[in-house]
Amino acid sequence: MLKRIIISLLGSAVVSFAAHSETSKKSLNIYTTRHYEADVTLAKDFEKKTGIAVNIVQIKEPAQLLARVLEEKNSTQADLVITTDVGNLWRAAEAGIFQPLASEAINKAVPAALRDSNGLWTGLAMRVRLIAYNKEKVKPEQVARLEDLAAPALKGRVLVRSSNHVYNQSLAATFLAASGRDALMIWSKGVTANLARKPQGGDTDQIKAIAAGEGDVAIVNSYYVARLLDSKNSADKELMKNISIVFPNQKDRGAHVNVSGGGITRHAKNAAHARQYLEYLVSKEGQEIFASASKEYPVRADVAAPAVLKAYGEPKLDLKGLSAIGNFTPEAVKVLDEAGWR
Amino acid sequence: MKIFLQIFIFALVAVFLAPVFALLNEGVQSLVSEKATLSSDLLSRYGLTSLLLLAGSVSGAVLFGTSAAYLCARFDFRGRRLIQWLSILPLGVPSYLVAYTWVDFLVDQGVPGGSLRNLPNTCFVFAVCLSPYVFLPSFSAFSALSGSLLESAKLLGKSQFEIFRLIEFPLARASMFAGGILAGMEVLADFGTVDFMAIDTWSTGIYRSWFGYGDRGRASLLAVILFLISGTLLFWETNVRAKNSLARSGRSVSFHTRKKLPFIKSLPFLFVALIPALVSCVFPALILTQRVYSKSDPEQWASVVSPALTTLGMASVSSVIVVVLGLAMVLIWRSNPGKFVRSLARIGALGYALPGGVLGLGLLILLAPFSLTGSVFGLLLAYCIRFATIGTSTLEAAWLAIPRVYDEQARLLGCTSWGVFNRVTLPLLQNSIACAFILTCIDIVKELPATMLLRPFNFETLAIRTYNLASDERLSETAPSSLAMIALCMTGVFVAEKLGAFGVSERSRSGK
Repeated sequence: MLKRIIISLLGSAVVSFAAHSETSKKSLNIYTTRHYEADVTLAKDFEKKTGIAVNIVQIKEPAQLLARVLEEKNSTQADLVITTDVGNLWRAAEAGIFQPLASEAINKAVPAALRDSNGLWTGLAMRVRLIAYNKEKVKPEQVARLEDLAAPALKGRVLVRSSNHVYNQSLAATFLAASGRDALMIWSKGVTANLARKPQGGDTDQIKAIAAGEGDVAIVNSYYVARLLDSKNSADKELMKNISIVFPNQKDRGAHVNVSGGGITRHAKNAAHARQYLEYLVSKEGQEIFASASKEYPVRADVAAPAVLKAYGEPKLDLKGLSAIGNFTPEAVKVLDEAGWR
Repeated sequence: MKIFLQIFIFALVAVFLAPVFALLNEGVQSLVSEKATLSSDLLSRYGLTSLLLLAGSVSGAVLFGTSAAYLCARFDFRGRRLIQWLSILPLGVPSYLVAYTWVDFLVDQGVPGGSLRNLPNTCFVFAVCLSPYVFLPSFSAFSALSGSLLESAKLLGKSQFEIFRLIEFPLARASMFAGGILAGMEVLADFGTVDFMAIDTWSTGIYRSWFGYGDRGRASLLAVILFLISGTLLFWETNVRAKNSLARSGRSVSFHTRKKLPFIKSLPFLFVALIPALVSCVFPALILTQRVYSKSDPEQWASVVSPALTTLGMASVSSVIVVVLGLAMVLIWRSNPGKFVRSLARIGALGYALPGGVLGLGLLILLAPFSLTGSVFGLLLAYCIRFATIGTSTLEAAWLAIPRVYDEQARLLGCTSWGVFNRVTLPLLQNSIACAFILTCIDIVKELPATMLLRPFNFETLAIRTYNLASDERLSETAPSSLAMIALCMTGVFVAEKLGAFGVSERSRSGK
């Protein structure tokens, strides 16, 4: 009997693996940390246009993805590495996993501030970290700057996710770069003292908490807000009924922005395909998919921001801060630790 | 022959421990680095939280597991068989899924999120999810209590409570304890659940060092420390089990009879015994089903088919290997290789004691030089290292129950030692083999971090799909993959129980 069980199970296994083993001649292998539907749409569209099969491994943690590429050394299968957060792109470039992009099309499409200064990676899409607030209890001028979240008037009203998450680590790194260690320490202590509850959950959870009255102000990423505003689900729209958003620091350094980006690996076996794919991603078509499917800000000036966000104005972005994120993150995390921001 | 066995075991242990040595090597290198890193102050606070979580979760698991086990083993009442089955069910649902589903559901009902994510609730989630680890061994312990012993106590005028305090509890204590330790190891190695519940434990320290400070070495070092602690626990468990079996040997087999319990009187007990199954399976399954139906999108199931097949394929192939390895171990034990080799084999099974993501890093360092990352083979190897314990311990327990006389008689009748294995041991182990297979499958279906890190291209399991949707903050869309995962695991638990995997079914009691 056992034999029969084993044989039938092995049989089912073989069938299911057969589905994975189809290989085509022209291919492109991507390691990515992005887990959005938009990326699947983009890959499929590219496949259809070029006949190049796109194979994807997705590893959610950038540090783990980098570890895999590094350990695989010159036998890595990855032609292209795509990751969220410029700090991770910086770390990857530092670790020497990229080769120069050498693409005029990319240079033309993407502003220099959103590309690596050594031409090793390019930004593909942006997200802005903004302030969401309860319209009935907070005036927009009360939260015009990130610094305002530390003001005593907001005691017990601020919502934020854990500093275990890279979104807050990068935000703190740009803060550190712009204002110095002491200022970051004072600010993060102030925010921690103002918290409505222990930092927890994701960005959407902060918005839900405003709607539920647990707090009045939250730091969240733009695309979560856009997704709720654009949702077909009436409950999501209901959440946003009393909530508005502010792009912070418009009169000084600009709102904290972060990019997802990609680079061609040093040992890529299909470097040309990888370049072609990056060029497609920063093309008008590619950028429109980023804006519509994942509600991110395009890196091209000639592609419009997600429509629901445009209603809140064209934000001034802290592009200068981008280049600081990688270098400043460990120190910023240290400050957050000392300030007690979990 | 003996020398071959020893070489085999050495090789196996070397493979199993290689990832740990890789991590140790990383960790030692980090000792000289001067980079900004997690302060020891914070680390000790994380450690303390881990201890509190451990204490809370394990005592909860012991409470739930033992009460259900005692109730089902010592009393007869309507619905007893059902309770037995329900008490094992939580094995089939990963704790992070329970946390996701409940928190999301309750927040939608208007409960403030801030009141949900805290230490007591996290302990509760672990307690219900891990209670089967305690239920299973304590049920067999309570069931195996000698009837004559209990009768004598009664004749001497002891009350029901005194019998529990003086006889039943002390004799079952070791089993409860052993189950509690296994549950504790799961708690220590967890990251998904505690991260979601906003609890900072030692694992948080590991991942914060790595992802926040970019300090892989330090993370490895902290992981090795956790490994050593969990490893010590595992050894303790093995010793407790060994002592327990000594205590029981030499006792004549006379099963006690179950006392009838009127339905009304059983109600409060029933309630406690039902909590784990209701909280970890029944309600989450209902919530998720409701979600799937309220969306009425026929496409949502289509996206689950391919991950489900992948999951099933990986789980079955790896489990076959785990079972074969387990059998090899049994064969070696059977040949009585001496204490040294036996303890070596135990060490080899320690993969269980590492957080999956860090074990993944160790495996990565190990597999990359052979270009095995991103291959199905590499992933199979990873699963075998991680879950070998389940195969060996299940089969070892079953093997211990086969009287040695059988072997001797077969030898007298002219069997070779292979013949004994093939014609006596193997047929007797048939059910246990199937059980070891299913139990390993269940754990592989639930496995997430190592799969994520080592997987091949275009390769998605149910656990990964669920996790990705959850990290994209689309919890409501996780329903189909979560349900598929629960269904797979529950089917496994059901079949395993029918086969007598847990020593709970009536057939195994009748002594066949």
